[in-house]
Amino acid sequence: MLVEKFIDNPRHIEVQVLADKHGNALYLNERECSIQRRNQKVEHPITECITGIDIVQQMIRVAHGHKLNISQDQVPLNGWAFESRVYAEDPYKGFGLPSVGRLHRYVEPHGNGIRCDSGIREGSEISIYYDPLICKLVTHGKDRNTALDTMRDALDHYVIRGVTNNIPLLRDIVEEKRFLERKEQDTVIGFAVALHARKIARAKIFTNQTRQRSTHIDPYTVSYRFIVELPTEEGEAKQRHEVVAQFGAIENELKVTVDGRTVDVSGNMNLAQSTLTLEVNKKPVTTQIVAKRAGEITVLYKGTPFKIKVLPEQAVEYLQHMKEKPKMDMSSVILSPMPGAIKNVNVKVGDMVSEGQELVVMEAMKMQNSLHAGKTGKVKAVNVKVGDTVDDSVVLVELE
Amino acid sequence: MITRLTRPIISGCSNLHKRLCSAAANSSIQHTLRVAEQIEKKRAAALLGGGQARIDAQHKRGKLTARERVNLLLDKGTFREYDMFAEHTCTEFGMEKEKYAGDSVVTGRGEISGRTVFVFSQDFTVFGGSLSSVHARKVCKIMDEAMRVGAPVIGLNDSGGARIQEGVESLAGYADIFQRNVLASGVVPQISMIMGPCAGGAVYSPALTDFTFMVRDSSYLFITGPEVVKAVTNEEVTQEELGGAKTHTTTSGVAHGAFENDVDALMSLRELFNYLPLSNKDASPIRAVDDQWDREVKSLDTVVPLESTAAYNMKDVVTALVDEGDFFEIMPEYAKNLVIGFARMNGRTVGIVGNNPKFAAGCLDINSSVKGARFVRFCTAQEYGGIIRHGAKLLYAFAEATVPKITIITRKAYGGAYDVMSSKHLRGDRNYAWPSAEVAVMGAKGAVQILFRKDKANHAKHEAEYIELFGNPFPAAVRGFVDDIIVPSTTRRRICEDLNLLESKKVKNPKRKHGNIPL
Repeated sequence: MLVEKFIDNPRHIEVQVLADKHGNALYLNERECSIQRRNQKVEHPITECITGIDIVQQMIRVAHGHKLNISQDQVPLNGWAFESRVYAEDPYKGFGLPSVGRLHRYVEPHGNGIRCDSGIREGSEISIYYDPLICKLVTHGKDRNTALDTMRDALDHYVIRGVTNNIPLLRDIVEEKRFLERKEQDTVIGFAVALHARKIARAKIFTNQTRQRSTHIDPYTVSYRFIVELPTEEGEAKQRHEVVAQFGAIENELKVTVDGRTVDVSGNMNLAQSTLTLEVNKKPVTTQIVAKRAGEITVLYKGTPFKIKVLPEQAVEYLQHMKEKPKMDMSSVILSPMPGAIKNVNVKVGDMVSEGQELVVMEAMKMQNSLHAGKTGKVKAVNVKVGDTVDDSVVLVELE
Repeated sequence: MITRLTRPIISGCSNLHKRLCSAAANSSIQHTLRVAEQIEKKRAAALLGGGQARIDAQHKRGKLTARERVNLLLDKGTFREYDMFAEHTCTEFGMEKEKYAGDSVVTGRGEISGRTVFVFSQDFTVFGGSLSSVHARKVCKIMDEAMRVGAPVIGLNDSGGARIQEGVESLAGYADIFQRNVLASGVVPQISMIMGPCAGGAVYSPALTDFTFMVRDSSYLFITGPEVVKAVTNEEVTQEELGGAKTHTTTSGVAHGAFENDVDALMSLRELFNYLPLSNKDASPIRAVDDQWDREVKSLDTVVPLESTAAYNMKDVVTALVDEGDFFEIMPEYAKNLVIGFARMNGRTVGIVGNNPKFAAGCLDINSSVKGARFVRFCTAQEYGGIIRHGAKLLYAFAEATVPKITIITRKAYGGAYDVMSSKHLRGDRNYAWPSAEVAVMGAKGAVQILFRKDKANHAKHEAEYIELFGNPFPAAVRGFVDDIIVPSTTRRRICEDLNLLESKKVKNPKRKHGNIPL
């Protein structure tokens, strides 16, 4: 039995030290690491940013036997730095279930005060064999606010397609307040519909269709009326909005009205670009188009993806007739939540198990996943054995 | 409306008018007004189809009505309906007592993204959408006009089949439609969207069209229903298992795609339509484009794994190459070892055919050959903008095709597959190889087993020599069978340049009634 002092509301603070074999030692200021899962990491890049000292180089010098070439009074404290660890994890699944895949689109943010430490480039594969770390994104500024603003901007400009990632979580952490306010909702609807309207207008512009020219109407002069539906939690009533989009004098300007409220959107709406910086009601907004499908557009706003349904206004009544598909009863099967290796199988056919009992343990990306029975019952089939490698969504165990 | 007209006429009578406002004149004016009223009444009734009760029943099933579907499919305000007042002519079984304006189908023309399309939408609320002679005549009329002016035909199917009371007239109606399906084939694109039951002889029409799509959980396509199956073979099978969307998109290959519900289906149909030319006399559409044609595609340099037997997903190659990664895949759940679909390169619609190593090592088998052949022939029939593909019926289709053909060998091109997949020898216009390409009769292991049968001890050495010799693009490049070995990240730029060049390509096949493609 271990007895420890209970510390209420603790902080995890680290102090970086550097010492040589000749009795000299330094401290390079401290780091606040409380917002971390699993308390694994020593985060040297932010110390390098505020001191300007290349810690890795110093370590190699010291290991070689050299004396430290800096004295304590030469260690500065310049500004402020933040580090976000960007992971190939789904922040909505179990607070971070890792995801594997190939990064078919990958663009790191860059600029003044931004440092991206990664071993990844476009086309790289995140596999089950390693830690799902994508990058250590570090920002530096003359004070806390500047560094934080730079971090927000960097996260908004980070393009990662091919694996789910934890940018929505990171972005939420560095955001000042929660954004369920109506004004922000209007902003998202405003620019999402503007982009969608541009897509629809563009669909009518053919460069080689010569028929019916005399009755052709310039799609940029027409106003577009839509019914827009925002994503909602399960069980929540669906919110629908009447939105009208009207192009202005040039095709890069739109006046969007959301249930009668005006949202002015302007900027380069090139649908092929990875990140777009638009002006919404005179305020700059950075977004990325994650997906555009028939009747739907998914955009990133402050790191979070919003899958927005945009349908022509005629659909306003039609949507309510569409049936909700019944949810499949998943309690009798155990599915693999992600690709990985089977570490442990605790049951065999014919065993009686109770709801919540651990049946299988999977391992991937240096993490173990415990999989539990969804209900009480008898085991009908066990489809895997220890050592097997499985894909995502494979039926591992079936209950009667 | 009547009151507005009568007041000025009756109250504003001068002497001359008083003479004219005699009883006879009055009654003819009344008649005119009555007729006008009757027309409006009939129009309003036509809009209700089989009545509000049946409309509600349709909605309860999660389905839209025939008119609602047309409303959603076409650009707002562009629908010009034909034959709204047509009524059935059957007098058997007391049918003359029940007539509906427009009968069981809504037909006409409209626009999708500003381009003309002809559409028929079967009305399940009128006699279960069953086909009468008038229903067939309405459909034939729009098909005939579509062929005359050169515009696609979209059919929204939701019908219980032939109208039994009409007897052979109904069967004759179907035949008239089938004949037109065949005549229109290769002339204008024909698309069928199954949005309800489609049974018995009715299934032949969608089968004859270029593309057939279904709506999940509410549409069924089968020649004989579960009741008859049970009666004859004593086999229990549900409607869904026999002819639902899942069966036809994964097992039978009859449907080219399935959608979650009516709204999703119609919105997606609009997207597909934007890729298609209006007729075989029209050029493949080139649309305004945002994606730069000379964009370097870095991810292609690493998409083919260094390990030559490791699988990769051909779809990753396709979405990286095409404009904005927009790829409308056809038959995504069937014969997954071959990927087909539409995309745009620099705004120009192209058809894509690619072997997918992720499934069955991307080999060409019966199902994938048929899947590919039908698609290639659709592209050629429409005098397409170009067929791009990266890997008996398929070979015929490619050899016969006179549209621009661009081929990229991404990795293995072994044996017949090398020939079949639009090789230079089948008049491929541009053939490229990536550095990872391997062109050989067969893989090392198999080859060595045959060539060095008597020298088993040295097989490993021979395999290494074979790989050295054939596991690369040189055998093909040295003979000019590929035009160049290209850096993968430059593939997009190359294809866009070539498509531009090949726009003016002219090649003809020898004159004949029709070839004899192995069926």
